[in-house]
Amino acid sequence: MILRLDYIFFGYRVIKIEESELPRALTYLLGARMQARTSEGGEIVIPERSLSKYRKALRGINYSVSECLGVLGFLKRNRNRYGLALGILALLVYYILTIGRVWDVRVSGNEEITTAQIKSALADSGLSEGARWGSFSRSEVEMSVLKNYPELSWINVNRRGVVAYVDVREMSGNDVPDKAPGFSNVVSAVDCVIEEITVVSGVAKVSAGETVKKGQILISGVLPAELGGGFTRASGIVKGRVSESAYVKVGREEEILVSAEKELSGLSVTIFGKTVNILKKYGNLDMECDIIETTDKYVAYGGRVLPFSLNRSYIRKKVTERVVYTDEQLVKIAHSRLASMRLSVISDGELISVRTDGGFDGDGYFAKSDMFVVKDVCEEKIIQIG
Amino acid sequence: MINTKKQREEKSGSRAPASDFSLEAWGTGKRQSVLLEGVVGIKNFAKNEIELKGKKCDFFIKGAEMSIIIYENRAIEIKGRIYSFELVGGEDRK
Repeated sequence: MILRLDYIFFGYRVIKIEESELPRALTYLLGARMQARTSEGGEIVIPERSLSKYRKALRGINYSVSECLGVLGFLKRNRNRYGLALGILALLVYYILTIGRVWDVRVSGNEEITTAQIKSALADSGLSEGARWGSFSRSEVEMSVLKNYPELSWINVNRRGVVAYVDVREMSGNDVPDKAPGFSNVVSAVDCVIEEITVVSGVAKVSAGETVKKGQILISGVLPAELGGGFTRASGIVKGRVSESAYVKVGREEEILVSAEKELSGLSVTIFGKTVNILKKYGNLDMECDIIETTDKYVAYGGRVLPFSLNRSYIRKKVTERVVYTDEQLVKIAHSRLASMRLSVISDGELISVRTDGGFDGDGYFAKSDMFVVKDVCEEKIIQIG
Repeated sequence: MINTKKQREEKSGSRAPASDFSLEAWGTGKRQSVLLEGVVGIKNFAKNEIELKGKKCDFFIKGAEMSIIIYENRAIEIKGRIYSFELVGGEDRK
């Protein structure tokens, strides 16, 4: 039976009358011009506000009246349950205050750029935990983040309930801008001795064994008359022997970053693929820290993996600490750092020879390496015509 | 059978004289409504049969799952699956 809205909100009663007396009761109500509707079961539904009038109209009829139903009836029955009323009121206030706000921002798709950096950029554009959904425009946030982070090629902000899901794509190595049109020479990027030169297009201007300066033309894009004249885009492979050095100084006293104890920063449960957050410390993790995430899965007897898992994330803050090194520690640390620097210098070439030296000075230890490396020394330089 | 409320309003000119009774009916194949004015009493009310008393005649309505709505202007609306509607009488009643 479909009830009227005013019956539901302002209360109604159901009158049960014996089947044999129902026609007489309805006739009384018809004569008294009182509105009534019967259900398919023969009950009469009346509004609560007119109960006394109905009682008067149905005098002489045997009937029973239900308690007050609807919202008004619920409130009357529970009028002494202050806790219930307070609870409903608190829930309404909480709902109104929180439903329109962003509870969480989840970033995915990033590899090189950290989540904290992206969240910081989103916060600058107005999207952060606690912000009102209506206070920012999602498309403007996307454009603003793309403008500030040219390393990103795409970003999308989606709202699902109270969570903002941010999906990003970074520029891949294939996204290299096309070469500018025009003609060019190949010049030397550093002072070096030419080891080998292979010309793909253009005219070689140096040969193996020559010493060249930085900026000197190695392959020319200007074609001589015997080759038809004109200009071309010079290209080729030129390897030169380059002198490189690496230097490290380690002080006797240093401030270093030390990892503190790890602390729990988030706890969630994944059930049938849906993740539910139980605990999360909000805020951008823009401090120096390690982030450790663990997932515990459970296996039932027989080796069957159960469809739920417990996910925990920890942060291990880094704090600065002052340390004083012994001589042995100084030498060890200095040479370890020097080795890392050497690797980065020779990473794009071939090491020919290296000479390493070190010594104590007044406030620490220094170490240095002088190296000869053979590597690609080409650099393109556009020919300005006219 | 009149099928839509709009059609019902357009057909209101086909009412009988207001001193006796008036009747309007509408609905679909599964559920119909009959609105009667000029009813003075309900003689019988069961799920599959309703008997109404008018000033000069009686109304017999047969159907299933029927319910009655009484309005403050003494109009009666019967909702449900209505199979037949019969009007009996016509003698003057005092």
